[in-house]
This record gives sequence, C-alpha cells and structure tokens, in this order.
Amino acid sequence: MIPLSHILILSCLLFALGIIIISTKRNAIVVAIGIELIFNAANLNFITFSQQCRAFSFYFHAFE
Amino acid sequence: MIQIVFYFLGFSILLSGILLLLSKHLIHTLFLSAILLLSIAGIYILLHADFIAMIQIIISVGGTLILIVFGMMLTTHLPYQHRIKKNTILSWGLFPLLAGILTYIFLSINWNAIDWIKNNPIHKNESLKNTTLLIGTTLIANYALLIELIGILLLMATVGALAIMYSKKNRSPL
Repeated sequence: MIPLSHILILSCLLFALGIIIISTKRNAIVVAIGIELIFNAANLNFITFSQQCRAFSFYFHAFE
Repeated sequence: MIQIVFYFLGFSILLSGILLLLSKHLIHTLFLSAILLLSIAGIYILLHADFIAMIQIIISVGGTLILIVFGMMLTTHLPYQHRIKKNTILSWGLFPLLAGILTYIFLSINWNAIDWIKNNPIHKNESLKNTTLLIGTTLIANYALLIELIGILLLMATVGALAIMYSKKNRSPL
C-alpha cells in the first residue's frame, strides 16, 4: 500500500517542475511539454483521490 | 513489491524532469519527456487507473510526442538550441518554495483521520477491477448529451483554427 501523501508529493513536484519549465524555457514546444506535465500532475491527483473514495467503489460494484 | 516499483518510477520521473529542465537541446528534451510520460503511465497502472494509462500512452506519447518529433525533423529551420528566459528569480525561487510548502502540508496532514479515506475499500482488501467498462457505460448512459456537446465544441475549434490559419496568408480554400 503506497501512502497517500507520497503520491501527492510526487504530483506536487511534477506541478512545480512544469511551472518552472513554462516560466524559464523560451521555445514553444518545450512550453507545451511543461503544460503536459501540469496536466499529468492534475490527473495524478484526481486518480489518487478517486482511488481513496468509497462512493466511487459502490458505484463501481453496482455496474458489475 | 508495489512500493519498490512506485519509488523507482517516482525516482525516474523526478530525474528525467530535472534533466528536462536543465537540457538545452530540443531532441534531448523530447526523449526525456517520452521517458517521463511513460513513467507516469506506469504510476497510473499502479493506482488501478488502466484506462487513463492507456490514454496516456496512446495520445500523449504515441500521438503528440511523435508528431512533435516528426514536425521538428521535417522543418529544419527550427532553432534546436533554446536559451533561458530572464525571469529566473521568480521560477527558481518561488516555485520550489511553493513545492516545499505543499510537501510540508501533505506530510503534516493525518490522512487516516478523514472518514471517506478511513472507510475506503482498499484498506479492506477488496479488489478493484478494470475501469474501462465503467467509464464507457457511464459516458454513454449518463453523460451522452455532454459528450456530444464537447464533440461539437471541438469540431468548431478545429474548423475555426483552420479558417484563421488559411485566411491570413492566402485566400480561404474552404
């Protein structure tokens, strides 16, 4: 079982890396990659909390 | 075992991200971002989100990144070396500070005291199955109108972008 705070710290570091890449790089392609990193950090947060949510799992078992 | 894989993937994410931040060659940046996105897809698989992991591999790595690589190889007038902007104090100072404050907050919160985390089924060893069926049935059954509206919006954005792009240089071919 991975602790919740470690995943959140990973996504937070990913977000900070994306922000630094956006604000320091000058090339448009690299800025797009930084935006991609920020999207992935947000996705990681969503997935982490949906894994922890119990209502989602009830909904899930209703479909099976 | 899962923890070892998670920490290995997290280490590879952070290492490739820091190298991506420091590298000045565009091809190195693209390959490092491929490694980074694939490691994030591995972490999605570890967190039982198989659909998102497949989407990540297909669209982000296989679509966008390969498109950027081909576009860069076909248009040789792009500057491969890119310089660094001048607002370095803001980026190198403020955002590590933000990351440190957020890390401290995440470590100091007692997550097991929250009810819906305390009662979650993973702590009771209930197995999670694949999420693709759930996502498909939910999108078609409950949110069909929203899906159609998003499709129309994306179509309008595509047609508008094409019209703007063609109307600046020469006559519109549409």
